[in-house]
Amino acid sequence: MRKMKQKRKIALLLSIMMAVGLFTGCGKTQEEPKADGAKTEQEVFDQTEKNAEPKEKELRIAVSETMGDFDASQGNGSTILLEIARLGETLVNVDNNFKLQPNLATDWEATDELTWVFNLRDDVTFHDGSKFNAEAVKWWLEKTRDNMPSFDTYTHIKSVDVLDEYKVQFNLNKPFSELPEALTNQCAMILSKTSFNDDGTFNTPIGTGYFRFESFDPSKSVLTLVPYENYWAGKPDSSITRRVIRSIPDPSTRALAASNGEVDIAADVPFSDLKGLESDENVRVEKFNSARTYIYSFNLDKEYLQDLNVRKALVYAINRQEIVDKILLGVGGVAKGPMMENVPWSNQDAEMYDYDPEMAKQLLDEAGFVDSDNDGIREYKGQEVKIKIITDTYRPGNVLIAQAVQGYYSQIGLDSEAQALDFNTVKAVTEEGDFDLTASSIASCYIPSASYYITQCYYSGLNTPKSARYSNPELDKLIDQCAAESDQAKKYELSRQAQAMAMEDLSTFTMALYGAVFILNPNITGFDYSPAVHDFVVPITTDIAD
Amino acid sequence: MAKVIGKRLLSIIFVLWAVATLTYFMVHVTPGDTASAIVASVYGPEFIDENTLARVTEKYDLDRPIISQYFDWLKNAVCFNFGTSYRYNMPVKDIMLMRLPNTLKLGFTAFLISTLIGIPLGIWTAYRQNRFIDHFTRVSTLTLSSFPGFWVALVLIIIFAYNLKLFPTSGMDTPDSIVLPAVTLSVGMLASTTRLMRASMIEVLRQDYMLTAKSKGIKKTAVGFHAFRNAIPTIITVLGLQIGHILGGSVLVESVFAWPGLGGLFNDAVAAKDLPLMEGCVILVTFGYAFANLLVDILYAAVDPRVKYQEVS
Repeated sequence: MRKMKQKRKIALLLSIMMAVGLFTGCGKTQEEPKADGAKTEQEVFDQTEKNAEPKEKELRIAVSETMGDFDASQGNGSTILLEIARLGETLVNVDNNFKLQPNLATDWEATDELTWVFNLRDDVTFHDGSKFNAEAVKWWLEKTRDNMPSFDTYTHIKSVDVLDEYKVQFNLNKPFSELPEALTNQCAMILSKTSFNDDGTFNTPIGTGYFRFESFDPSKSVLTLVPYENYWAGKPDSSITRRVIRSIPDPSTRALAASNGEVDIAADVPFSDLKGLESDENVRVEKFNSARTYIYSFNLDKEYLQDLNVRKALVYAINRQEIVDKILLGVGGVAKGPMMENVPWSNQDAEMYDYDPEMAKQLLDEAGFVDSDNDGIREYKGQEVKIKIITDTYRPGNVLIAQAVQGYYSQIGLDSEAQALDFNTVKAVTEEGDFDLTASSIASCYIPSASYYITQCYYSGLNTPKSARYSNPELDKLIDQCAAESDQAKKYELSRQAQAMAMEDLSTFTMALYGAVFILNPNITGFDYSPAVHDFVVPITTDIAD
Repeated sequence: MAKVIGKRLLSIIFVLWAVATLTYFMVHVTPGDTASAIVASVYGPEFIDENTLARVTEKYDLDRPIISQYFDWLKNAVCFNFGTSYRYNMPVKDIMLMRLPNTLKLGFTAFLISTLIGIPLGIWTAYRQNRFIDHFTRVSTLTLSSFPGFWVALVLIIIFAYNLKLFPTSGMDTPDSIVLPAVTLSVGMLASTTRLMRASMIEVLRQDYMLTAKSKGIKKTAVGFHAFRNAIPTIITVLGLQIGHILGGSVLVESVFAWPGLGGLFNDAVAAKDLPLMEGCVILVTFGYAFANLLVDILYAAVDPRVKYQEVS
């Protein structure tokens, strides 16, 4: 009898649970259209189109940032539109070897110190069919100049003149020999005037690239693009008929979505997941070195850090090869100079203070860092010192490297602490000066010019995490010369000299080259990584083999 | 009753104001300046330099005294105008209205799962007090809800999405993509619902009037229903509190599952020091919380005639 009752109760419980399942099941399907509102029609349309066209082939890409708005004149979503969506293009391109290539502009020259003349292609149209010409370039770049706070910092463009239909003149605020380099940046991507509504609000991005905007669902953060039939460079050798870009902010989820076949390309996955992914047959893992660097900067306001030998010791103590192999798990590389070796103006002969713990100990002894109370920890002139390393959590390797450095310092008898803070706090702490070393990450070729990185890292008066209170007037002069030089060979040489001088002064040092890691659908073809770009480019030739 | 509700609504307005004001000033106490946070999150840290910062400061009018910025903001907020998000460059109201249905959908489903499993389970184990199934349920629900949410999320993804291929890992493209995030969110609430339902039920079953009812020979199911009705008030309080758990827990769950709701938005807003958006989210969450509690009080009166609101006022 009791057993029977129990059975009945179990049956009751099971049916309740099933009811829950059913309820949530229909809840979803009914709620779906309600929640999406206006987008439903578009989706229905997509669906029918998909059914009618059996050859449909999607390339699905997962990105970490949340997409909201694509008003590129304000800088919103411009990296995605330029590099991943391939919707917009720039006048000048930078290739995988950091060399400039004509793109929407065919050629250019500086007519005097403050003016540049660019000739434009005459066979380009925007996705709405309107003509790409000098007028369009003027309209867009002047709009960007007014809308985007960082535009003139990078381009120094004061105004744009239309010389004829396909010829523009850029008038600058100050002499600037690197305008073509600056115009490769995403802030100079050209979209059409028709991207805006008549009332001045942004509508949809209309560019000149191979892919044109199809739909964007802001509530889901999914952007879809389809090929533009009249693309000026012709149809690439790819059978992809639609690109779908979606936001997956969590790195582990991104990796799992790729290995589950929900996306074809996912970037920046956690190092801890790599081992499993590399043995996963559903995906192909590809690692590349990028021109971005992990760099460490000393706080030169600290008395003991003003001693060059102490700084040297703190670099000699670190085994950078081991950091790349064991901490970054091969995602990244050992820097043989301040910058990546592929960068044409990189100085590979600069002193890098390779791992030598004995040398480090000797230098510390000489500088007055000795263990005076025999507790195994060195004091500076009798005072206890704790080397404070601060880092932001913006890039995946930052915290791991800082912890490893702490370990190396304890091996040479130094007490240290590592603090991982959010980006803003790092900036605030750096300004206040309560730190010894600050770790950050810089895209060394954000502007692919020989003077960009050295200006960012070494120029006086930049109180940013990357150039913590360093000043060398002689080096400033070299940087100025490098920036003003128009002969490329001489320019590269000046940059190399500046790098060598900076490494002698050792205000900052390159810990490792930043690695990019991609989890790909194993059938992906034509995907190539360019170390010269900001995030990563998904070339228009990228395809999925059948 | 109407008078009481009116009073409560007034106090909700006061709470909203207090929370919004506190948030406003607390954001300014956190380290780092707003302009560089905006530049870093919208354009990238590479763009931080004096010239850019100056233009951003000018664009968003950030160099005025905080107090005068605050009063302007308050004036607009009263008219339901929460300004424009720095990070997304869109009216805060529009972004939130776009994301709110997603969070509600997820929260409602999670709430339903935990309630519809937790309540029957609580009743059942109350009748099976100190038997194996009682201990087993207690230990297992407690263990489940003690696991950190992000870990549960990843384990669920690995088992159900990756190995069994039953559900997608993330996003909200297909109707079944809600299952894993909703289950993750409900796991945290399941233990408390079950335990409180059980405790409340046991408490009622011990009462003398239950014994009377039983000894009068009333049908067992009728007695059970009787006990359940008396156990409801306790559980309503818990369910009300759980609304808070849903709104808070969704920040994490939404980011792991790439669920485009308010949680992810809030996260982005904090990272970018996007004050208008942060305020918008805080006000919405506070309102949800306060409103849920008001609802609980009204329900209380409905299910428990002993509660006389006139006395309270």
